[in-house]
Amino acid sequence: MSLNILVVDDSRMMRTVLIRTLHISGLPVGEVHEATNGQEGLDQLAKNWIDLALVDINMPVMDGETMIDHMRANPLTKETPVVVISTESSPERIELLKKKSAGFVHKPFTPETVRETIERVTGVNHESGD
Amino acid sequence: MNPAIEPALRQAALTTFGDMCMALPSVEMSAEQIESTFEAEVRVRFHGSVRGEVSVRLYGTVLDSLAQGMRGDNELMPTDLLRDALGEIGNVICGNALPLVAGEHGQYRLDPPRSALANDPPLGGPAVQTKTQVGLDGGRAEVGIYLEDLK
Amino acid sequence: MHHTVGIAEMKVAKGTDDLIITHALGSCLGITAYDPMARVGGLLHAMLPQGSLNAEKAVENPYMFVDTGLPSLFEACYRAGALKNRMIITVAGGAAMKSVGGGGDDFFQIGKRNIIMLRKTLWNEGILVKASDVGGAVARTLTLEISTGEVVTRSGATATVLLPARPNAVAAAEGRKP
Repeated sequence: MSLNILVVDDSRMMRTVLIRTLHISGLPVGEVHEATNGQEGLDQLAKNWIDLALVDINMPVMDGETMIDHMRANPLTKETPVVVISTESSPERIELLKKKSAGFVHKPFTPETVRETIERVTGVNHESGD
Repeated sequence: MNPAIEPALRQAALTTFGDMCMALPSVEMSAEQIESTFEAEVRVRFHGSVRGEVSVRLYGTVLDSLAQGMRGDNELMPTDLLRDALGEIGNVICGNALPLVAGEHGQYRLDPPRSALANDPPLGGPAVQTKTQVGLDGGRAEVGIYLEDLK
Repeated sequence: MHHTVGIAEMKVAKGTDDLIITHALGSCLGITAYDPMARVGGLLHAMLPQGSLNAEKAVENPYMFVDTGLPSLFEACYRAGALKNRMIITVAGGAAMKSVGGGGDDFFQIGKRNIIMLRKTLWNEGILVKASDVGGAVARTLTLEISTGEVVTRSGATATVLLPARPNAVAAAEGRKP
């Protein structure tokens, strides 16, 4: 089984870093789709089968939190696992975001933390291909 | 003035440059680093229970290697990607400094970063009230904050 | 056979009975690389982050520095038959050690800087760390068992298995020695 992954971040550099992490993680990665804000993220979800979404919070047009709320209200995407990847550092906000998503990764992150969080959220192991 | 602000800015800068840009930031600086000239600036506005702006100014020639550290290679990159990398540096420093400034219960949102390289028009914005500096290979970074409540 | 790796040294082994060990990792980094298929493994004990700050020393002994020692460790493993996409990396050390008279290592944050340089070098190589036991203010011992790939750190009376023995490697080893 390979994972189709949606990466939503307004920073092109950050999307590049996340996609590089996915490719060197050893995880079985299928298609990778990109979006620069929450609205584009929802458009990508409507067009493609996505197994996992990595979502930033502070973005123009539509922020990540609103995007996740829309996903949860849609029967087709309400079960899709979301990992929030954000600079958010307030414990109260992180608690709230954790309730809305499957996992939370704080920026700055190590690629190992991203891999471990994806493994925990999806149940897919980077050694499953061995 | 809250005496915790300067250490908060310094800690956020050290963590961001070290963990995200894979640079080796230092608290001490050589005369050469101190005298290095302006290279780029990023500003990030925040509003909520605290309001204001964080500014990160780079001096010397540091942005290329910070961006390369983020991406994991030694290739030169186009200026729009450098601006983007600079924006993310500002975003992450601001996001990590604010809880230490606003307290655990602080609620705030960050605006998208505004970044400018040396040849771009200056960003403008309020003068920072508190700032700190860290040394970087090839120059330094100055991280400052403007808080509206302190007006 | 036991191989002891001293400060600023590196050892690569291939074989069933070999154990590579390094002692007294404080702010230094102990890095193991292991290919479970080829059963090739190596251990580096690097002192300082950046060889570029002291190019002469880095040429004389690349193992002293993280940024020059790590590529040397990989190359030695590849020469012994390891493949990059099978390499499993673990790391230990990088502590903030207090030296007598204050200041010392902790003041310069050598441990933390060693860890940043390790992450930078691996990120540029496109390799992730499998397991780590870093930071804090303790001295550690690190061992790598070549036949099983088991990596263990010890600090005082506490032992931590960073990488458990791999069953397939054990089976392969036993198969070769009926």
